[in-house]
Amino acid sequence: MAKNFNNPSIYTPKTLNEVVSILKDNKNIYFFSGGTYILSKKNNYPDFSNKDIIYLGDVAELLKINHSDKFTEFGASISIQKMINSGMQTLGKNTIGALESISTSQIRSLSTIGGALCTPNKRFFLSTILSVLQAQAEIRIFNKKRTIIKFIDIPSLYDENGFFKYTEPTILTKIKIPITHTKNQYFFNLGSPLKELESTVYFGFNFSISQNNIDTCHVCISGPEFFFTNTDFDNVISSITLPLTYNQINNLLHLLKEKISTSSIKISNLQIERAVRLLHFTLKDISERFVSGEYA
Amino acid sequence: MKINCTIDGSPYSIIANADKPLNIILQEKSDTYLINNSCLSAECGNCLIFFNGICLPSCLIPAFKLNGAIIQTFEGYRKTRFYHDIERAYAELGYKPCKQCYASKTLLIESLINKLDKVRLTYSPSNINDNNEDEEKNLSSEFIHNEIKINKCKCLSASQIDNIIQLAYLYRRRRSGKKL
Ligand SMILES: Cc1cc2nc3c(=O)[nH]c(=O)nc-3n(C[C@H](O)[C@H](O)[C@H](O)COP(=O)(O)OP(=O)(O)OC[C@H]3O[C@@H](n4cnc5c(N)ncnc54)[C@H](O)[C@@H]3O)c2cc1C
Ligand code: FES
Repeated sequence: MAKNFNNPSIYTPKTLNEVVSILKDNKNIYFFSGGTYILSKKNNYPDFSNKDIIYLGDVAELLKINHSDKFTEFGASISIQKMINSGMQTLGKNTIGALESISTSQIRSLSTIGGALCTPNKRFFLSTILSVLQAQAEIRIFNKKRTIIKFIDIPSLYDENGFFKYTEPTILTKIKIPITHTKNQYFFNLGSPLKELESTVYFGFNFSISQNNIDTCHVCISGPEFFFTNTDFDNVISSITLPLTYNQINNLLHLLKEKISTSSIKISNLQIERAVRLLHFTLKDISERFVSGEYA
Repeated sequence: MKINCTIDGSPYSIIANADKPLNIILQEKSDTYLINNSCLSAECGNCLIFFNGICLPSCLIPAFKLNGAIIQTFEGYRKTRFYHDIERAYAELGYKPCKQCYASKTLLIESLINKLDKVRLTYSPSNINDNNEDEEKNLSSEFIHNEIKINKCKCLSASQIDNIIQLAYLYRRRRSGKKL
């Protein structure tokens, strides 16, 4: 006999409190934000999962944008395109350019921050961008008795395979991006995350300079199915004096390869090769800019 | 769930599953519906429609978002004067999208003409001798290249699409008696 396909109930809460009460009464439910990931999965319709839907696009708290001297906060249901439009002044050209490289403006007008960060088993470029910008995510974990609210770093949301770690009903409510020196970032988005799982690479590099030294540095390399950050590696770069010599650059490239291969992430050779080349380009470019006095 | 929306200018009321994608609803609604529903999963870009004025793949719009929405498909669009501008540009330039993607690419071109119009309307020269004037008054080729990625069919190049946009825009401005 043919299975009956699902005719889900759709909940459209207007506040987070309403989300909590819906979750209390209904365990078999999933969040829907822009729907670009959910609806682009093969055979997404008809659905046989018997799950209901909570649409997060109308929740007022998730649609807020807050600019202060130190941070910019975006609610999780803000679309990536809106993030671009309202972040023009605070996020800086490089970050805006990186956000604009995500798909097309049509898809970006649907895709939300929450959806891009919380897809269970696939990573998108936004995670890499926010990770090196040292952004924090506010998440709310709803367990049987209470709601736990946490602010955590972006890398802590994922395991090495890039899987979203929080399995209990967890909602990402907002992100908080510190205002940094907006020129010192490099972002690259190579490939197509939905189709080219083994060749897509996202690369993010954010640093600060004090006198002749790279002062702090954050590197994130990821792909649809892996997520790599390494504090040791960041620390090595963070203590470097500019300009970099040819040998120093080579050593750093080897070190990156070593760190990747000793981690347990599943990454293809092509992805390693791309990551190394992107780091090479970045380090060379920083050195050349330093010599030409751009950071003076 | 019961849904009331407007499709191609006419009110439309159906009962559908909340998660049913719009492209399937449209396909069922009309035999002559031109969208080529080949992939159903945001890959081909052959299911574009205007949803509240934004050009989007209809397979990414679930039924529950349709209440009160204004939807324009290619079938509705082709009856407008706007289509005539693009059709003239196709004829004048001697190239047009292939049969497979004709409907979607034409709507995509329309959406880019609208964007170009916005760029021109908001353009204010900061410097009369500005060398970048041409760049600032136009959609960059990088932008066009990126935007047309939504439709995967490679029958037209980005520069051909750019030419169509420019010419159709020119016809439209002339038709409405506005200066460029
Ligand atoms: C054609 C196409 C091209 C693309 N190209 C690119 C690209 O070039 N680069 C790139 O990086 N990405 C790309 N993407 C991926 C796109 O960025 C994601 O699909 C999108 O960001 C997901 O956001 P959404 O709001 O649509 O999520 P949804 O599909 O609504 O949800 C995704 C997942 O997140 C969960 N979720 C949603 N919101 C929350 C929340 N607030 N808290 C907890 N869980 C939540 C949902 O339950 C679901 O499991 C592309 C997608 C498409 C369809
Ligand atoms: S059917 Fe919508 S993109 Fe292919």
